[in-house]
Formats: sequence, structure tokens, C-alpha cells
Amino acid sequence: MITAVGLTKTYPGKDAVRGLSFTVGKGEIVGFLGPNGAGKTTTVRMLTGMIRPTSGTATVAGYDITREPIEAKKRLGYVPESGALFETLTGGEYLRFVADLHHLDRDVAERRADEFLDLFGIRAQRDQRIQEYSKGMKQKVLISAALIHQPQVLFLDEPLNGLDANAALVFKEIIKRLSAQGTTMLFCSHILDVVEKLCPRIIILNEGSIIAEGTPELIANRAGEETLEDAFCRLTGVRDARESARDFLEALGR
Amino acid sequence: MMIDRFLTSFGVDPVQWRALLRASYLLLRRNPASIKGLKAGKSSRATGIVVMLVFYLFLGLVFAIVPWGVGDPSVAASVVLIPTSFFIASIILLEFGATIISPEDYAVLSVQPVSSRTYFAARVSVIIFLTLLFAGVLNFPAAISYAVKRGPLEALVWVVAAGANALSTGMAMVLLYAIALRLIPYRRLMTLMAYFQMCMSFLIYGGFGLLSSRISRFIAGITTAEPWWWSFLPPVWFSSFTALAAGLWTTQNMIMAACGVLFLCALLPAGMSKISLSYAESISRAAVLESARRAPLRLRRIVSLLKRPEDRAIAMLIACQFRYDIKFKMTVLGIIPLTALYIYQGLHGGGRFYDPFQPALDIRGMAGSSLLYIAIILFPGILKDEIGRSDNFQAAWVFFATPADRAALVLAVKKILVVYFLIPYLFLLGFVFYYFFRNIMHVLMHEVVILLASQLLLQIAFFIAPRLPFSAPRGVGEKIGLTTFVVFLGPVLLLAMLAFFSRYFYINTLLYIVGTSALGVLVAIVERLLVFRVSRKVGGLEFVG
Repeated sequence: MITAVGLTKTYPGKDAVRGLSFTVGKGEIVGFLGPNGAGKTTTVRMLTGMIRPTSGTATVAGYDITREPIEAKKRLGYVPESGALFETLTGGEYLRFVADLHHLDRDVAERRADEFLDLFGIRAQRDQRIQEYSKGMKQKVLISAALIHQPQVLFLDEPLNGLDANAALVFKEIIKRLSAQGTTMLFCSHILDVVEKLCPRIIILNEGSIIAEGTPELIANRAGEETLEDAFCRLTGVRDARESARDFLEALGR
Repeated sequence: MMIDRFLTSFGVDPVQWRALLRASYLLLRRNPASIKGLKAGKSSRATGIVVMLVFYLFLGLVFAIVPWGVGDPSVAASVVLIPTSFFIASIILLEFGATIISPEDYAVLSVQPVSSRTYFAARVSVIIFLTLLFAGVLNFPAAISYAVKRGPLEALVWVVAAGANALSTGMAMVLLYAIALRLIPYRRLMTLMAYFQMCMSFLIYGGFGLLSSRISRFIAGITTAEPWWWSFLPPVWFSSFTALAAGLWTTQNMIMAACGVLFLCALLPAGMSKISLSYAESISRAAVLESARRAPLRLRRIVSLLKRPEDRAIAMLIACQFRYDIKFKMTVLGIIPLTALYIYQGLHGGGRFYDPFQPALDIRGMAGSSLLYIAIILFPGILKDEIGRSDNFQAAWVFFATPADRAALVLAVKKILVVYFLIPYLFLLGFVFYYFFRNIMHVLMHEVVILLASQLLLQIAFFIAPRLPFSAPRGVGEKIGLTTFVVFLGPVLLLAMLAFFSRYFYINTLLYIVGTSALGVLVAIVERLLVFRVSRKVGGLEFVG
């Protein structure tokens, strides 16, 4: 459902992503990990058609994102890390707005919007402007907007940002069920525990390139570590956490 | 090091003071206008503040003629310093209100070990810098002119008077703003400020039309005698310095100069006492309490009239932005009095809507009602630009990650402008035309041509700068340049087209039909080209958020 071949994005003086190739099958949830600036968001933006790759190709749900962007975008949903929304709209209006951009039938859109807002416990705030929402409520609207057209492929960039414990549980359950129904997901997060629990397969990115791919156990074994966390630190060049903490405190004179 | 010692003696931390100043400078320099926007990778280098300085320098150059046109030194200085005060007040209050004090300051600085006094010193430095910067741009040309006429020593006093006037205005605005924040809830104050800004924009931009015709009359009127009420204006008190420098030691001049000195001495401590971090805390608390309130809702019946989903989505977005984005709302509402001003000016100055079907009407006849025609294209022209901008421009990612036809989204804006703004506006204008023409057929026929011509101009505007709605950042002072462009170029083109039509196609019915059809065909061709151009231009955009 997602295929990237030699995906590269170059900015003046910087290679954000270098020759990325990977595939994600139908119904698969793949964790996309990497330290800050590794190129995760740039990759997702290329895969969602928000920016053009400098070279390489990518297909989403069988459509080339550069040549047939509209067809691909009809089939994908995206929860951005930035959480930016048109905040003068209400939650309900924003969902209707996105539904219109997807050419969704208005009655269907209304029904689904109600269902999602109900599910996330913000139906009572449906007619309240987004600028008055908390960060978690905004995230719930973003997730609902990404799901409203029932996409075949979901790109989730830090989707749990700001969600309370209950909403996070609900969302994780939704992800599992959608996966069981055949929805493909690329899950970007910095929270390794969540990724480890939700994603049977993980891709680790560093400085724009894939440095590891496989199940959490496989990645840990190959790195010669016991946990994914330790493997991640080793692979991305982060020093041993305990050692770093000790040096840090020493630098503070404690 | 002298500065450090000076600051330390007042309990100000010089390192923090410098850090706060650096941050203010960077924030002013990197205002949204200079952020790399959604313009296919191009970045705007001219920041809004530079545009503002150029605009006010232009006004300053106009003031440079005053010392030559007005003989009395005090009156000449007053003619310059009164509007200077007005402009500085509007700049400080409206463009840089947040620079004075903002609820966000407390959120950012409360966790830092910054003393109220250091915060205060940094803020005062910024305000003094901005005040003197704009006062310099506004007054320096006149000071040079004054120096040429009356010598450098008297000009030096002029500069002192201008500086004192600017400082007192700046401090008065600080005081006013701070008191208003204490009395009025933050959001409501922002709304009021927006309405106030609308009136000021109306006066400033509308002033373009008034400037040439009125300023000379005004100067001529006061050359001989100052109006009695001038004695109550602080700028006039400071202007008295120049009279004293010229040797006019009259009792009145001495009293006025003393009033100026006292005024400045009273304002400086009063204004500065309001700039403190604890004050920022109190307004920050008020802002938080206020934002907890819920907003009323229910709108959009107009949206359901539109069939195409892209049109519906954009119409809803524009409607909500209009309702809740106070800056956008004020820009739209601000066009109405501006339009009324041009109509008033056009009629007041002996202008009228000449029936263009009258024989022998040429470009001169049209020019007589030029101000009236400015209003027609002004409205959708300014709106077109304003709809492209938003403080919330990063939310435009949604146009890039959904299957929406981006060209259709851009063209939806044009459609909405024509259907919801231009056509109703022309409908209203029809009554004005009928008042002058007294011939309903002439009104209708003329309006068809105006509609087509306006449509063509809008197409050209979209052709030159197609932009996704609310996808570019707003910048300080940007409106001035755009408005000038829209005010001058659009109406000139419209006027030229109407004059051409009047001369060659309003002669008889057949020619009218031929001309109008040709214009209609042209509009249709340009529409095709526009779709092609917008698809290429907007289709190739990348999201830069």
C-alpha cells in the first residue's frame, strides 16, 4: 500500500532524506522512528504529496503520489505533527470543511463527524471554535478529520500529542481495529514504548537514511541490545543514557 | 561599559536587558512578512517595517514643504508635529501594541529570573527606539528644509521639539494602552483596537485621496492665524520651542513651551510605571479567564447554495474567518467607509457620474468621476489580497494533503468575490447610477460592462498572484503597499476601459452589443488562461509550514 523507492529530498546545503526505499503492506502498522531532524516528517510530507521529492518515487494505495496525487490523496489520511487547524472554524465545521475537500456526501460527513466527536468525548464542544479547544481536543479533531473519508492509508505523525490517557487508549484501540480491517499505517513517534506495542515492524531513520528495519526484537538483536530503546540509542549514535546523564550532572557540578 | 554601569545603578541587569533587546529586535525584524511563505520557495526580503518606513518617509517628504509654505516657525512646526503625533500614536498602538506589553510576556518570562525593572528597561528602550525611528522618518526631511530656510541652530531646536513631541506621544500611548488593559478585558480590547484600527486605516489610506486637494488649502488657511483649539494640543506646545528659538519670546509662547516641558515630565514617569512584568501578569490572568468563555454559534445558509465542494469549503472558511478573525473582519469592514469616502470625495469635489451614453463623453468626462470608479474595484481588489493571508497560515497544510483541486480552491475565492461581494455591490451602485443617469437601460448596460471589466481585472489580479486562501502570513505594514497598488493601478485600468467603451461602443446599440460581446469573449478566454495558469502555478506549490 505504501512503496518508496529511492526517495530523496534535498534543500540547499542539506539532504533531508537520502534514497529511502521501503514498503508497507496492506493492514500493516509500521513504526517510523528517528531522532529529531532524522527526516521523518519530510518523508511523510513527500508521501502525502505536500512536498515533491527531489528524486525517487512513491506510491500510496497503488497511485504514484507525484503523477496521480489526487487519486493517492483520496485514499490517504494524515495527522500532522504541527497540529495546525483553521481555528476560526468550530470542530464540526472543520470536519465538514475537510469532508468537502474530499468530496464526501454531506449527510455521511455529518454522521461520521458526530460519531468521531462522540467517540472522543467532544461532541458537546462541536459548535465551539477550535481556538478555544485544548491541545488534546485539537488533536482529536485532527484525528477525526484524518479518518472521516475512511482512508486506506494513514500517516500518523505524533498522533498521541496532547491526548489524555483515555483518549490515547481509545485511539490505540482504533488503530488496532483499523489495521485488522486492512488500513495501512505509518506511525511516527518519539515514544518508543507506544511504537513497540502498536507496530509489529519498525523503520529507524537517521540523518535522512534508513539504518534499521524489522520487528522490535530483530532490531534489538541486530544491535546487540536487549531492548528497542537501547538499540535505538546505539543505532542513532546517542551515547549510553546513564553515561550521558552522569556527564550532564558533572557538567552542572553536581 | 558606561551603559552597564548606568543600568546597574537603576537595578537593571545589563546582560538580560541586552538579551531582551536582541529578542525584540529579532522579533521585529522577523515579522511574518519575512518568513518564507507558500510562494514556491521564494522568500520576501523586504520586511513590513521597511515598507512602513518608506511609506512614512514619503509623508515626511510632503511635510518638508511646510517650512517654505508657512512663515511662522511655531505654526510651521505645529503643522508637522500634529500629524506626526497622530501617526506615531497609531503606529505604536496598532502595529506595535504587543511590543508595549502583552499577556504572552508573562507566560514566557515568568519562569525566568528577570526582574520587573529589567523587563521595564528593555520595553522602554524598544518603545523609545520605535518612536524616535518613525518620528525621525516623519520629521527629518522637514528639519532639513527648516535648516535651509532658517539656519542649523533653529533647526536643531526643531529636532528637539520633534523628539520631545514623539516621546510624549509614545508615553501617552503606553499609558493609554496600559490603562485600557486594566479596565477592558484583553480580547474585548483587541476587538476595540481592531475597530479603531479600521477607522485609522480609513483615515490614513483615505487620506491619500484627500491629501493633495486639502493640504494646500489647510496650510493656506492657517498661515495667517492658528485655530484657537490648537492651544490645547501638546504638539503645539512643543512647537513653541521653535518660536522661542526664533526670538519670539512672547508670553503665550513661553507658557506653551513650559506646558510642553511639564507634560513630558509628567508623562514619562506615569507611562513607565505601567511597564512591568507584574502588570503583564495581571493582563495574562485576565486573558486566560476570558478565553474560557464559550462562543455563540450558527451561521452559513449561503454556503449551502454552492454546489461544488471546493466552493462550499472556501465559502465556509471565508465566512468563519470573517466572523471570528477580527483582523480579517476589520479589513473587510474597513473597505466600506473607504468606499464611502471616495464616493463622497467624488461628489463633493464637483464630480458626478456622467451618463456614459451621453454623446461626446470622453476620458475627461470619466476622469471627473474617477474617485467614484475607484470604489468599484477597490472592494474586491483589497479582499482578494486579504483572503490570501492569515495569522493561522500553517493550517493550510490541509490543502496539500487532501485530494482537493488546489486550482479550484483559488478560483473559488474569485467566484465568491464576484458572487458575494462584486455583484451585490454593483446592485447597490445601480441605485447611485440611476440617481444620476435617470435611465434604467443605461444603468443596466453600463453595469454589465463594469461587471465584465471588473471581472477581467480580478482575473488579472489572480493571474499575477494566485494564492491559496489564508495560506500566507500577514506582515506588519504590508497593507500599505498592497493598498496603494490596488487603489491606484486597478481603478486606472478600469477607468481606461470604461472610457474606451464609452467613446467607441456606447455610440449605438449594435456597437454596444459588439463591444460587450467582445469583452465577454475576452473574459472567457482569460478565464481559460487563468485556470491553466493557476493549475500550473498552484499545482506546483509545496507546503512550507
